Amino acid sequence: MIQFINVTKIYGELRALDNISFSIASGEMVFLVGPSGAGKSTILRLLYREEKPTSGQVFVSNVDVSRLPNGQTPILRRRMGIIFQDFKLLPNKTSFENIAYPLFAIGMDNAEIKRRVHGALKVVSLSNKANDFPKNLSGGEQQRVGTARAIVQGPSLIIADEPTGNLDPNTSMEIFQLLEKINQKGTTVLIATHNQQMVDQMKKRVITMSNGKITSDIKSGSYHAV
Amino acid sequence: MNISGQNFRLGYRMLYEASQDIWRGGWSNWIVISILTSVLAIFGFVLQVSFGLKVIGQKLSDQMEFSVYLSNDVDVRDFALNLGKLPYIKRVEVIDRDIAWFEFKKNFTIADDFPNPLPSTLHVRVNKAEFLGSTIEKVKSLPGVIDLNYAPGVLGFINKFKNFLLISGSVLSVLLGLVTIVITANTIQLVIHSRQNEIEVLRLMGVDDWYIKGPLVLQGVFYAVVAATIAIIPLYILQTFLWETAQNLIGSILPTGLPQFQASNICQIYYILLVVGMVVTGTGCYMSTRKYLKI
Repeated sequence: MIQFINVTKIYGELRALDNISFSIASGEMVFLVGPSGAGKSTILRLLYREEKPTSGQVFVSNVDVSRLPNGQTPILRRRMGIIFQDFKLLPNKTSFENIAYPLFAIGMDNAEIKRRVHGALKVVSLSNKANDFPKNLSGGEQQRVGTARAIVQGPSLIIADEPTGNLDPNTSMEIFQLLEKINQKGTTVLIATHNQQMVDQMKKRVITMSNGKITSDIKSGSYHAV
Repeated sequence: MNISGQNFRLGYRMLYEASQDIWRGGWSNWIVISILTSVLAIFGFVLQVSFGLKVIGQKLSDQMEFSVYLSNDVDVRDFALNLGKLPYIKRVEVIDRDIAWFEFKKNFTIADDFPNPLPSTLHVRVNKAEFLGSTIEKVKSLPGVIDLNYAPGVLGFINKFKNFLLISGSVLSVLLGLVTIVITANTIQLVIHSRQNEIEVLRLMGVDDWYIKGPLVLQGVFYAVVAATIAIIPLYILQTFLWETAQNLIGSILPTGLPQFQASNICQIYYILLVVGMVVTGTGCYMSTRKYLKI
């Protein structure tokens, strides 16, 4: 599903990623951990082609995204769902409209949109909040709406960048369990996080990073603070 | 997904987004429209007058007639008789000064004892247009001739006026056009800024670039359509007035007069204004999206 081959990313004089290589199989759930500045977000940005590597190759579903023409980027991004630390919900739209927004923009018909959005709301257990605006939702609920938006197009890969960064421990656990539930249905999930407690509890594969390098990659691992 | 249905839905939704952007723009929309209307009105006026002058010029250059004004001590009928004997003269028509004065006083309020200022006039027609110039030179030199009124002379003046109008009108239109481009770019920038979060979400969710840019372009098209439609109204009124005035003024030189005013002329100008308007707003949109819309 994902392959990084000798990838380096340099910003000016900063070497954000230093010749890293790893692969993630389809259906895996992987945590990407490490202190701030370790390179976690850079890896995610390379995956959804917000950035291009300085050298090396990045493959998603056997497509070399580092060489992808700009016009193909939207197609790549439709195959993945992205979850953000700050939720990125539109304040003037309801939960339903926030989840449906990308589907409107690709020309899907209204009946299909309704079916998919209600399906996604059911997965995240927020069917009764479809008509609520973000300001009327708790932080955990907003992140669940963000998760529903990420899964509504049926992607094969979910990327979560610090999804619980703004949430309390109980709510964080709910979000991780939700992502695990999504993973159990076959979706590959890659989560960049600082949340040591959750990582240790989930017992999933853990890739640890420091100063742009991978320091460990353990199948049923735990968080090693470096 | 059915492709044509999908395209229809996308088009409809882009129109909806554009209408939302226009609504959000508020008064700033009208600033763009008012300046663009001024640009198009000036440009349209220049076009209008140029087209009209072109028609008049064409008519004049086809003429084979000229008018001769005689001093009061000349026997008009005798002069006309002798003039008719010159080579290439086909016809000479006498306009008696007293009759001309009588007709003139019908249209204006003039005291009965006001002296007649009009000279005796001859309308002279040549056999062929190529003999007009040489015949005029000959007649000019005849004793008793005060002045001549002929197409080449008027045509020269009309051409000079047309060129002046084209140059000055074009310079003004270009300057105002540049101002409109900048203001359009700023208005679109405000829209982009207000939609920054939406645009980022759309971008990261894999929406095509043209769906993001499309509503902004449609907003520019809206400005162009509204501005062109407002600008054409005074131009239409002006055209009917100007054409009537031109017909009255040119009548003495063109006995057959000018062609009737055609509504299709104003339609042509409207389409040109639409295109020019879209080029101006399109340039503003392009500049703004290129600079501020990072996709």
